[in-house]
Amino acid sequence: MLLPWLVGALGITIGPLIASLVLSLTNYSILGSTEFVGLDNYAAVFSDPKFFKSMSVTLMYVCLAVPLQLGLALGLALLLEKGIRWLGVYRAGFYLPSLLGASVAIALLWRQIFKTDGLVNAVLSIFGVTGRNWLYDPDTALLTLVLLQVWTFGSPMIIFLAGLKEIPKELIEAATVDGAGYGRRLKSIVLPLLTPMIFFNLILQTVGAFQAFNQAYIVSGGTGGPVDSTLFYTLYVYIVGFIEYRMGYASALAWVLVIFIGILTAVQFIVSRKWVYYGDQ
Amino acid sequence: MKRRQFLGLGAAASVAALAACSNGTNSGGGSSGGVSQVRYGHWDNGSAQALYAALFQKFMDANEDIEILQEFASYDAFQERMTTQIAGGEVADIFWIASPQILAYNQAGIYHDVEGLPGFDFDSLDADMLDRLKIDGKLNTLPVGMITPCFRYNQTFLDELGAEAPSVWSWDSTAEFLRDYTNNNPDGNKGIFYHAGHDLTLEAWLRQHGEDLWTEDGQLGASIDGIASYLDWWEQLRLDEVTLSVEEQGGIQGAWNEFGSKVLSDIGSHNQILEASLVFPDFELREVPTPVLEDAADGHAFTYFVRVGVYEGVPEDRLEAVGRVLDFNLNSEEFITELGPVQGTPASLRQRTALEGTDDPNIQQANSVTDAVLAQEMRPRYDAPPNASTWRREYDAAIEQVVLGQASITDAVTQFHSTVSGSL
Repeated sequence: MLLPWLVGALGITIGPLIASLVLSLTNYSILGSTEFVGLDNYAAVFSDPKFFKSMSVTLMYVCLAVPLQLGLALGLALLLEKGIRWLGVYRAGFYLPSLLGASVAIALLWRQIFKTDGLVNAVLSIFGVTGRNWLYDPDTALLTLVLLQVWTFGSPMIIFLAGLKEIPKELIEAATVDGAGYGRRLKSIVLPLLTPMIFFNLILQTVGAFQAFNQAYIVSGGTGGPVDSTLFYTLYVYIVGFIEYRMGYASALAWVLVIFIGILTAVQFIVSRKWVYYGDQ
Repeated sequence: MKRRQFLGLGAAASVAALAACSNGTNSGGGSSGGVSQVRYGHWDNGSAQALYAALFQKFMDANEDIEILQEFASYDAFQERMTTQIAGGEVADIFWIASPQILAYNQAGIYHDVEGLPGFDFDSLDADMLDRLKIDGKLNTLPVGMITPCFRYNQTFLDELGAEAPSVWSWDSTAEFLRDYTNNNPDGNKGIFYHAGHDLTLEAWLRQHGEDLWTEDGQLGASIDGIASYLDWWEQLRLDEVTLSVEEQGGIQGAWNEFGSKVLSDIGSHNQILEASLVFPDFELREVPTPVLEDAADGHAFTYFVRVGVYEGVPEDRLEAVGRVLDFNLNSEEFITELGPVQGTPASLRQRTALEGTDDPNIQQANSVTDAVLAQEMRPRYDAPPNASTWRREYDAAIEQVVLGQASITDAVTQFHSTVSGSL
């Protein structure tokens, strides 16, 4: 019973994890000889301009995509929770993009939509607006990828919907009887009781956004361009490892990201004590 | 069995499974029921994949003791897969080699010595040519074809306009010709699409200016001024709107296949005419060697050899099968006449002769470019050193900075020069 799990855990998760940690202490390059270099790779990270560039691009992406995605998901969940007709159809329709996700096919579709003679510019031209090549402009390339992430709001929306169903009806009714309007009920009852779901989605989507890779790889042709404007951290790790053959350094970069996400998540948990309300508190 | 023993057994099994994944002789190919399986790894832009499959099938029908397992990918994906396969010790028995990786793969030790490869007939390959391909005195790659940079234009567009191509193709006369076409054609076509990233043409420019892209001792031979002057030639055309804009192109990359209906010409590799003619069958395409400086350095002409390697992990008892497959690939007249010179003008004299009598005008054009280049004196050419395998990415990044106004040509090229030199 345990053997398949054990093989999977060792071979696919724990083994590579340990291997990458060991490799991060070497100058392993696939093509040449390998030597132990201690913490040199980690020291090199902090003098690597591309590290700072890729980290800033990724942070910008996370800071834009996660709040927008969660805001949209929450807003739609509140709308759908009202018991409108064809609710199931809307729910399924809104969830569909999450199933497709930021897959290779969708990223390719994104390229077609945002290129110079793509759909977006065709629509803009109806209104007399001259478009641009959104993906080849350093000012807009990242924004198109943010939209791609926001588009997959279905998954957090479903979680929000489940959370909304759990809010006791009698609390809402009592507030209504006391004269509280929709806005007041939302602010004082719904959102506070939904904070565990918001926090859960925030953690999941933040970690997921830090790991975003497919969309940048496909849309930029694997370069992170134009001029590094879509050089996501994971893409940089990939380029260093598989294109530049510096696997040891790439492993160190990957572990720096793990540590960074770990610290960020810990901070989120600490801060959550101030704003997340659990029913049993 | 106690739980601890069971878990111990499981852990041992896992370690054994992991160990089985480690480096060793090539386990992908092999023998099955007396049939030698030969893995053949290659790339192309898609159009030749099916042709290769059909030709391999013909070979297998005639050689029932060999089964060819075709492993195909696009150019970038192929190189990434090679990286993974090298790490795992699972490289295909026969594999194509991208130009920036020739010496990098040598450093990785994945080449089998192919001198006297059993099953392969060396008679059709020029001995001097093979000598030039040796690395550290060893013949560890075989030439598939020769590629030369060229200037390609659409004769149909010129005929419609009643215009004529120049009789002498210098860089200045070419630029003038493109300007004239852009300014005078009624369809709003451009003279050329932006293609400063074509590596062989950059190399041609440098050699004409007396520089080498790479030196014999593995250094960057190109000067900042040399590269900058080439980008400046393109930048003048781009700023004068003689090229498509990079916004229209969706970047600095491009291919005739995408823009052939909007532009008169391209600077690229001479073999690409075959694919271009498939996309635009109604156009009459012409090719000439790359434009030449009026006072070009002696011996500037060159050809780049597309090469294949044999994996060092191929066991001795499978080498003959590998040699026979390569012989069919590199020497067979049937192979080249059905496939066409999509990988350049054949290196094998036998295959080249088979193409001489072709009535395909596009192959004739391609042949004429190679013949013109081969007739010239050629000084030695050196491949990219092992740690420079990403130079084309860095070069593209420099071009991108220029066309997006992020850096001047000199600054971008200086940064490129410093990055590439620093990695050597």
